[in-house]
Amino acid sequence: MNMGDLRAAPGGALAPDVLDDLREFAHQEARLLDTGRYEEWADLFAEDGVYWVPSERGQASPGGTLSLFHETRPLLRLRARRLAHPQTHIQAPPVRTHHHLSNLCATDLGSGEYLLSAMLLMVEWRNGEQRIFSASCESRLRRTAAGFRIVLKRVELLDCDAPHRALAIPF
Amino acid sequence: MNPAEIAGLLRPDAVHRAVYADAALFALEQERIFRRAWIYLCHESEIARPGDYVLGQLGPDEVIVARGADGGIAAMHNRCAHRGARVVTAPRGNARLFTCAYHAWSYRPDGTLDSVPAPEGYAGGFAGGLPGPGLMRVARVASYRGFVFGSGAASGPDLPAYLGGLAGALDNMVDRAPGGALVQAGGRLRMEFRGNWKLFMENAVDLVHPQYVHGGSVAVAREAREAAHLEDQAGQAVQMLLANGLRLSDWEQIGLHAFAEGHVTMDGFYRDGVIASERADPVFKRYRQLLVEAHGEAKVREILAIDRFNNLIWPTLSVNSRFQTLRLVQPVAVDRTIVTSLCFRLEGAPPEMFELSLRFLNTASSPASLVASDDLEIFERCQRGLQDTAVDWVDMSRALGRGVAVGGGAVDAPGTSELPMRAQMRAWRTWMAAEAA
Repeated sequence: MNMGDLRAAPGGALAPDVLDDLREFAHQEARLLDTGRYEEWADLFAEDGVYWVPSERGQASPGGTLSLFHETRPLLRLRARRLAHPQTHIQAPPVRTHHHLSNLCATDLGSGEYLLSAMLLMVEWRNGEQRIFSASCESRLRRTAAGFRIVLKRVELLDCDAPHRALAIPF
Repeated sequence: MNPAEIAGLLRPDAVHRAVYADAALFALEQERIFRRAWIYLCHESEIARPGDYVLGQLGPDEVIVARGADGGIAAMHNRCAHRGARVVTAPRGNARLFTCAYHAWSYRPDGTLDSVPAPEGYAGGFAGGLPGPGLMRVARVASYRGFVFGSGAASGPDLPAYLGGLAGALDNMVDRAPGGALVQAGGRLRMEFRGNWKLFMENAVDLVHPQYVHGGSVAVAREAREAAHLEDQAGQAVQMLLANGLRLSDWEQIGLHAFAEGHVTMDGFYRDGVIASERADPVFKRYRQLLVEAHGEAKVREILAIDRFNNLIWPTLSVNSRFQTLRLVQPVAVDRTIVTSLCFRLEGAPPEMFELSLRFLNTASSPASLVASDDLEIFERCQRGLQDTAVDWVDMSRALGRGVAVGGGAVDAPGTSELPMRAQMRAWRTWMAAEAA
């Protein structure tokens, strides 16, 4: 895992302790994915949280257009449990990933919500082959007693509209 | 390869591995199947206005499918008549003329040459006047109820004859629209796998595999059964995952029908919840009412009772009328295939109905799908195995001889038969053994 520095978005300011918390959250999320702790990753989502990977550049909504991933928390938890199930063939052998984040930027949205944006390089290794995915990510986070929870994570792949071989692990 | 050599690749109960793994045979397929058979190109709603065009694929060749000023549809190879450059680069758009970027030869939407700069400099100076050579037209283009197909062969069965018993799958999709028409919408999803195209077409009608290939998804969906009541993507996904958990004895009840053209249908699918043939929720009731206003009660019962899942229009199209989706197979190389999934809005239906189609494809046909990703993995394992030259034959013997001929070259068999694979291979042999077009 490689982590660029986190700064407040231009024109906004964030208290140093908030920046520290947001930075730690981004670290933690990448760490969970890269160590195969997918259920714990799914639990970073709010009850009404959504993970979304559009199929078109600039796609405004998961309604009306197809998506590569459009998963609410119950589905994310199901995906996570599936990844650990012995009959999930795409995980035999298991997929390894490195989530590299850079250009981290945060905005205070008010009411205890923050927007965390980053550029992502996910390097995936499986079955003798390596793939690299580049994406622009935006997560709307809500501060709760248990820490930040993801309300919406939107991942726009550079090649979102290209044909892809199986995608097993979230970006 | 002569017809006897082609025939030697097939036994009644098995197929030679070369059919999946030999690059020379793949090249021959491009000539004899994909440049001759009727191949799905696009839907008329994508090119509704004069000048609208989309790029499509006819075997190895990229074609421009365009609506002319007179409303007619033409398809032509995307290759400039002059020095061969690809003319159109945007996957879709609207244009009065297609102009090659190299020396500015311009073509009309019907492919005829419109203008050439400084024509006097070319041999003959276009003395016969324009049009000189245009874009190479696809020999035959035809639309069946809005679905546009092309064939590179100047002769052969016309489109309705080719569709045969599968025309009904397209009819049923259109008939489900209260407004009597479909509109392609929602973009597309594209999956790729390092395997031969036949692996996808066979698997789409293989009812033995779901409980094994999708066993992981079924198991976790059972644990999350409570989510199945949700009226959202998660609810629909869980219901669809659970549907793969039938036992062999259940799958056996599904009726397979294979046709001489290689086409296949399967009946008796939709049972529960959102995937049931008829539902009780308010959206469906509203939709049904609109349909009754358009067609009358008796006809609507008939339309909604059709419970086929995948309908294969061999060699490249899988039709799901119930959820208004198409999956189109593009053979890229002997060991590389792209599958494009498309969905349609039912004209005159409540907008929520379209969300069901989107969710259906999000669940079933994304490369990230909790279902399809395991299929893609299995296709790649098959291709790996079939590259082994020490073993020649691929078994397709399940329920051999248990089919029942029902006339017109069609055969019925119970759900777990490998009849659909054998039928596709027979069609393959017919096309491959026909030498000259």
